[in-house]
Amino acid sequence: MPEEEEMKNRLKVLRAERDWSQAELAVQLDVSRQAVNAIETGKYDPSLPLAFRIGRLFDMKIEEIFDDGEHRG
Amino acid sequence: MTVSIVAEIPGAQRPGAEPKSASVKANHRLLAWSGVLGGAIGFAMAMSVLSTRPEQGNVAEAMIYGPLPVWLAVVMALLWGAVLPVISWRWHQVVDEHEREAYRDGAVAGFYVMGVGAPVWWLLARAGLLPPIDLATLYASFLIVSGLVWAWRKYR
Repeated sequence: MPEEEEMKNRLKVLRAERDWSQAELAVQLDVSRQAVNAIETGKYDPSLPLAFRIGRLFDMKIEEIFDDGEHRG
Repeated sequence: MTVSIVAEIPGAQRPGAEPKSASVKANHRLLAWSGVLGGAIGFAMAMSVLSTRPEQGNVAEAMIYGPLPVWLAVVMALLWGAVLPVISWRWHQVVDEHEREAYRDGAVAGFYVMGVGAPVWWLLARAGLLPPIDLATLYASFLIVSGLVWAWRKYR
């Protein structure tokens, strides 16, 4: 069984670019601040519906925000 | 800039307060109702037990094992067995997926406390190596382990 790659994401950078706090982003995604923090730090992988909400909020494709490590060396 | 963003966010709070999403507000509101319910049950039980004037040093034991009036036991059992599940059912509907996962992991840990802890204790008690199973201790262990795992998964 292949070892699962750690999911990485650009959420923190995208949020910082917009000068949003974790709490402000959480409100827009209708989740808790802890959820945003867990996603940003890679401790929690969002579900597909939440990943789509994040993509829509930043007007980006999911794979432009999340990286499953498939293309990492 | 930040202030203007907060003002645009639905459900934004008073200036200075951390904004909370609709699901978090609903979550906290239902937890508060659970707290009120638990507090009312605890207060009613304490008043009932203390009114029997248990001997000093036996208050804690009387709170857990002491007899209760039938009407009070039935009312509290209905609150715990019928009202609390309704609040819980609603809570599961409103919480976000991260909270749901933290709760699930806490519940699984609690399940193992009961599913493993109870038979192990029961077997050792039958051999005289442990005192008989104590329901309050087992239930408290379940709550503590579930709560710790939930908190770790949510706030780590």
